[in-house]
Amino acid sequence: MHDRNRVERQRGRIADRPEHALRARLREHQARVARTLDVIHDWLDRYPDTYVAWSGGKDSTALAHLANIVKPGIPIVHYDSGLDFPETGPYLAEVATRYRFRYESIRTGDALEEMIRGGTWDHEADGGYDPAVFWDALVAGPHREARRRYGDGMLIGLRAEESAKRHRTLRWHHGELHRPDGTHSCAPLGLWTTADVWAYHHVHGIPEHPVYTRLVELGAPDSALRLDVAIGSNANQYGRLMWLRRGWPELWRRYQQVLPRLKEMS
Amino acid sequence: MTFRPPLRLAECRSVTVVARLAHGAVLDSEWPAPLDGILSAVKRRAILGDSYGDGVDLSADQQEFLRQQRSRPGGRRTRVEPGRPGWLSEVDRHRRTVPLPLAVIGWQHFRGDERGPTVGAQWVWAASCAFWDGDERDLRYWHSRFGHQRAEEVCRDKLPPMVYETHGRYRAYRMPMVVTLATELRWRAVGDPDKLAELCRQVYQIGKKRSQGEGRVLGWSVIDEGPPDLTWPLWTPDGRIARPVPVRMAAWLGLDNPPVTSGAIRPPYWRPPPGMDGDAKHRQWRQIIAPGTPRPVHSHA
Repeated sequence: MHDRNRVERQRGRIADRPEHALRARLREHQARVARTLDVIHDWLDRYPDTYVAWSGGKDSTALAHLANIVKPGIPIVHYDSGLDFPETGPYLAEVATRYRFRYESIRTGDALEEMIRGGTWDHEADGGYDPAVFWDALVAGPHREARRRYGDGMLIGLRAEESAKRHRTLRWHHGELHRPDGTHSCAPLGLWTTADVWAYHHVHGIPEHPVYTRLVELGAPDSALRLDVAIGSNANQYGRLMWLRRGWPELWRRYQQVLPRLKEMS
Repeated sequence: MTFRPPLRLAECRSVTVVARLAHGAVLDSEWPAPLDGILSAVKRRAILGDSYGDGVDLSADQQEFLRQQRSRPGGRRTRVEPGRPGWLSEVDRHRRTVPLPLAVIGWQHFRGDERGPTVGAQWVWAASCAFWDGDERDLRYWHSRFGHQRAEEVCRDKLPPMVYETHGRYRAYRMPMVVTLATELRWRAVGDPDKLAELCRQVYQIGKKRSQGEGRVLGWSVIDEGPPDLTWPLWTPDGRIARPVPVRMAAWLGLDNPPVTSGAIRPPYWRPPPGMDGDAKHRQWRQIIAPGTPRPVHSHA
């Protein structure tokens, strides 16, 4: 039997696990946090019109907390695509209230409607998929609106450890991206490990997103403890929709009714 | 085409069906392995005979329906062709419910059996979902990767210029699956014990990923538990609702405003049933009592 993979019922907050509590006490972690605060400070000196992109995941929540320490009242923006987990909205509101974030949720379209209209998730649909339209509802539209309101600078919670592609991107650009359209983004947590992020949550007692709690209850491995929109085109080959189906069956049925091919990847 | 329940309640017995497993099974988290679903699959395979799984998975009735559709002068042309996406949903509304050696709950008025509810079309088979001892689970993975060398050999001319493994139809998979670890699965049912045992013996594997060896069954037994009791298959031994039951049965079950969710009430459970008027184009889940709903302390059901 695969004892290595035996589903262990973890109890309590992920951030309070012993390995994360110990990590928080390491000088390496504390130095990393101090260095990140310097990076954000330096970035805000160069790009004062900056906002923080906040999905509600562990990385962007830690980043929003850090940025709010460096510059209290910095705009913290959530891109609402219409595909969030139902728990995300209340969680964002709770954290924003607790830490007095200047928080705003921006919605410019409905990504679910675009997925239905595009027809790629329904064998019987006749629609023509336009990735640009879907991307606009998911990210580009809210980003455009946030840029109009708050400026060209953006702090994002990407980390090199998350994927090989992000590792290459962040390493190549030293954590900064200056795009031809005039936007400038910085990933201050680029070199953080997952344990660093949870350790930061542990030190500051940041509330845990209910989606992580549910995934742990379901027995998801640590590699699956990632928060994104409920459905999308990323990471489906790693079982993301399987966890959605097991953990949020009602939401799953609603999506599956309008996007029948989701079932093929669950 | 009207469905008639195959058995009178008086012809049935309350039974416990037991499947001995080799090493667990991949089961649904809400409604694990409904017995009527498993038996329907067996029976359907028997009905379809040689045409089962050959790409033209249609009964004689369905083939005749399609033939008539196509040959009707001036009639609606169906875009459905066997093998094309969508063909199944068009013909499903004309498929009869597969008869099983089980009692039904919800047709008591029509059958002259007085001990159950009468809820018309929203009847259910008198069979539970699986339950088992313990709560051990294992996380296993299945993998799939595009075979470049084999594809080159077989269909070099038809391959696209670039085959991407990170996205699109040829992407590589590493999919987790939660395996329930149990030596036995049990179900409660009301039906004909001998015919149930005969059908069960044709089932060698249960759950998902059977082709990968998951859910292997070592043997079956059907235990007679006494006279027929329609409440027997509706509750698990620890007092939870044991199968999808339409909300309109709640009063009969003694439930006052139970939690409600949506789902199918009869096989096939994986697909929304046709609309109330039998329209397969507009499928919708039924309102059912939520899984995990506890049995009321004082109820006649």
